[in-house]
Amino acid sequence: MDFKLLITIMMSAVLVNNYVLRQFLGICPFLGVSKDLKNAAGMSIAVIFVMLMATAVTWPIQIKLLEPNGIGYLITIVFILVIAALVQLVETILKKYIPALYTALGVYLPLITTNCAVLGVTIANINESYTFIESMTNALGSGLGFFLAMVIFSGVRGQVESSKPPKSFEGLPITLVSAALISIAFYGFNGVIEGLFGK
Amino acid sequence: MKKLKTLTVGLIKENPVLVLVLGTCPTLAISTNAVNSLGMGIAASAVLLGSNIFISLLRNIIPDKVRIPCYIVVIASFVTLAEMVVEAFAYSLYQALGIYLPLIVVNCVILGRAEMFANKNGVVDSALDAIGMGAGFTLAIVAMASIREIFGSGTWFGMELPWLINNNISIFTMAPGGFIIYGCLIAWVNKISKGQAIKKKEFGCEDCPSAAACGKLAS
Amino acid sequence: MKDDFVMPILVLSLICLIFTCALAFTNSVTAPIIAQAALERENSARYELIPDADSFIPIEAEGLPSTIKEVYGTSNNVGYIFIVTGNGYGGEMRIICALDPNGTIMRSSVLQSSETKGLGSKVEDASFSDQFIGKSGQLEGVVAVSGATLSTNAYVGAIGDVFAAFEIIKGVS
Repeated sequence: MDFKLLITIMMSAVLVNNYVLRQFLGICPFLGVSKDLKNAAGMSIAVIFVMLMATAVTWPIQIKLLEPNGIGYLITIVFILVIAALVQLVETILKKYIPALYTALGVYLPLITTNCAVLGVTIANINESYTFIESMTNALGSGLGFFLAMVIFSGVRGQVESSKPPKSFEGLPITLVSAALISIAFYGFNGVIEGLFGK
Repeated sequence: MKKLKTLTVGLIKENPVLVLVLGTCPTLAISTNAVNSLGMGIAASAVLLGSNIFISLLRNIIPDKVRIPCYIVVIASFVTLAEMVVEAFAYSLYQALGIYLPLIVVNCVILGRAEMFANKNGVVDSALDAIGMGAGFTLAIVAMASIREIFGSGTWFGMELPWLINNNISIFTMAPGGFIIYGCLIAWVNKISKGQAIKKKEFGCEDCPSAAACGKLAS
Repeated sequence: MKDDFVMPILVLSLICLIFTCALAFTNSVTAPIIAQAALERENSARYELIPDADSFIPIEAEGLPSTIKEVYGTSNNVGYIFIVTGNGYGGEMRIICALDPNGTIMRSSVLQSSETKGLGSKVEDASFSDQFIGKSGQLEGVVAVSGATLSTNAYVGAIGDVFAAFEIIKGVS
């Protein structure tokens, strides 16, 4: 196993190709649930959890089941259904057996099915023809990247809320503009991977 | 007259992108150039048209309990169909849209219209609604892409523009540019409608028109 | 009570079935078109670089750099085609490079990239890629695109990998 490659995939997913700030996946929860730190962290942990679960399930389905049988084109329809079912399953299990975790994450779980970052990471793993281990690393990295973006942005949101922008910029527009500034900051990570690990 | 209103309401008054603030992910990601945005708009509109028609046809057959999973199957099928057609006949578009093409399936405009409109209305009305909403989505994404492409790359629909081509502002086509332009466009809509138009004052799930469909998915 | 449980499952399965069949049908129509178009695209890119080739034969070898995606030899031994990736400013760049049998660059060009328009995208211009023609093994004297060090480095690095790969496959074929 190529350990360096795994670290590269991980770092790239967290910092350079950050799903929210660079690829615009999962914008809804990013802007919707980032008002305070507690919710932002809860949502992100739920996303990391579901991303890992979803990758662990969808990767074998596509590689072992769909592609060998020549029905790889069903990827979109199968993956979205699997994710929807998975989220439902996780919710039921958490509710029954780990109520503490359910109270922490339960609210966010239903919102995750339509979170394009989750479907995005599972499809990207197949498109990039990652191995299972690489896919899981990519899923973890993408989840952590989402977490990082959410937590940083919730801090910024706190400051933005207490300021007074021009009237037409109040609410949504100023939030988007401040998201742009975080996104610019992440551009600073370009080239970090090559600098640290070589190509 | 009512039919005409169903058709046009999505274009301006309830524009899915600029007024309802739905489908933000593809809007931000694809709007770096006008040609791809037009392709994205047409693909998403076709999916929306197909799914709206079928869901409206099946609305009396589909049991309420499995309503949302059924919608997802219908929408995902049309998305796959669109993927195949685009890959076969417009490969450069297929490459440019990349992962955002399959992700049309989670574009909340489509699921939102299924739950809010096709579910309750006849086939003709649903089709008109889909055309209107699809056109509104296309119009908004192409408009935004035009701004980003003209200033960011100095081209429009691939045509080189004099002076701008040598004085382009790259950040417009980069990720931060997307956020800024989108923010400014919404602020502009706020300004001309004196704050009346935008349905969501905040980007929260509480007042998202799709929240019903989104939230019910897994519950 | 029974209807509450059976009907939803039945309808959902039926809808799944019908739509899957429709997709299978569409796939059977579009799949050959897609395959045909893909073949033509690849061929045209390769013939553009080595117009004299009769046909291209894929070459497999152990120990190639991980950035080398595809290698082709030519049936009449007029050169080699390498498809190689490099990490630029905007993500992965896909580069095609043709070497003659002695390992000298015949031509190279960018197949696909997402570099910043006006800066990094200039590595796609002929004025940049023409600098490589005739070089073998050494890449000194390549003038970087100003303001786009990362894109330039990605391109130069990718070409470097092509030379490394050539050393490996030279012994094989």
